Amino acid sequence: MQLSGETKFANGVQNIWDALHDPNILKAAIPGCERLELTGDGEYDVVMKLGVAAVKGEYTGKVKLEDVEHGSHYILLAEGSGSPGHVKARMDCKLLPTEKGCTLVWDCDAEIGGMIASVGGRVLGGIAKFMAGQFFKAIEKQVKNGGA
Amino acid sequence: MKPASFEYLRPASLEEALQYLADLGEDAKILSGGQSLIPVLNMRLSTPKYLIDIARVEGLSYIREEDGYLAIGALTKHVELEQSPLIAKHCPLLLEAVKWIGHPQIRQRGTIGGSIAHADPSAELPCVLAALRGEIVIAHADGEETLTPEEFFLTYLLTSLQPDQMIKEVRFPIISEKAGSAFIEVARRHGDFALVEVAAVIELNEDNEITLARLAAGGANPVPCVLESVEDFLVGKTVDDSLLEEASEMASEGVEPDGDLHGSEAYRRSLVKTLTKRALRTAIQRAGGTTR
Repeated sequence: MQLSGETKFANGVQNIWDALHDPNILKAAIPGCERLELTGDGEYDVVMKLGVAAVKGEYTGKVKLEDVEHGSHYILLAEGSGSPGHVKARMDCKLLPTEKGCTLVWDCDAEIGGMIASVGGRVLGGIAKFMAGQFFKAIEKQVKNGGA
Repeated sequence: MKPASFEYLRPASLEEALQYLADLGEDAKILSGGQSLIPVLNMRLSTPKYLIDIARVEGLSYIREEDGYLAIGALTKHVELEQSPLIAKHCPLLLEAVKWIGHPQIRQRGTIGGSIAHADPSAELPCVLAALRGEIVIAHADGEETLTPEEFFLTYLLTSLQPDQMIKEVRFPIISEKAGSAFIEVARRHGDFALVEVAAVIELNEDNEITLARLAAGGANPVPCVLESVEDFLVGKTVDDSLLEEASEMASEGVEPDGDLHGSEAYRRSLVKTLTKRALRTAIQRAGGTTR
């Protein structure tokens, strides 16, 4: 499943970059995130509880960052599984400065398997996009409130 | 296929149901008519610990005329909407839409609250509710609140309904009897999920001029899509063919469909155009206007 999007922030590149790499901010911003711990260099253990329609479940997984170019680009590799299924995603994130702040351009390639895959790509894609929107809104809110 | 085991609860009153929800919330799921939930349980997509069957909750099945609205209890079945003289009189759009819901067997069991809570973007009732700017009354143990469809529907199968809340009532504004309405959809077979559906309401004055327009598309966007810019464009215009052409073109540009196995993005967009034109034409004719 291919997903991509763009999110505009009214804050500078450095603020957003810091927020996207701060475990506390991430934990509060990721929908349904129960636990997020830094285990190694740029590697996190994550537990998420998600309820989408009637499909509720807990997912545990790992998130790793690769190809990090400080302040401009990184690749986020996520792998997780739970009772409703499993997900493996590779998300390419570029942070570009703009006149009013910065824009995050993301491009995600996700493999989905198990029970959850039978929900269908259109629905899963829509829900993933919605959650990404929620995540970025929460990040922006925290940066605004001086969380970073 | 059979569902995973669950504990079955059958409250007799709304208060009891809401108390179960307040106590069990996250681990519970409400069973209404079961037309969407049971397949989901059987496929084990959902494995709730508790199933709260509200089918025997008293006083949630009604259709009433109240302050310019048709107030419909959450447990009212589709077939009851289909056979209601009040709905035939005050909301023919709803009547026409209900006939597109699945098959008679499904309409015998499915409920309006269930369909709204399930929030399938192809479903008929959410589309009509959005087009008419209806309201959704939510109940929880501490009280009630009323939401607009815009506040309620978030994306595919996702609503703002919290684990301790349930839908109590759905309210459709009554539109003048002079208005004409139409509901049209396209599905691969009758009774299948709609690829695209369009709901339209038009009111005209003596000069064949549009004085009120309501238009929404389902199946195109992740939530029912009210085509407000097209409504604004139509009001004050005199009806002719080029107007319909322009309005339906605008409608197809106003949606953002995703493609899937059943229909590509481009096909859904072109369906929005075709169906908008047909629905508007029919609504105008039913409002006593001519389209030539």
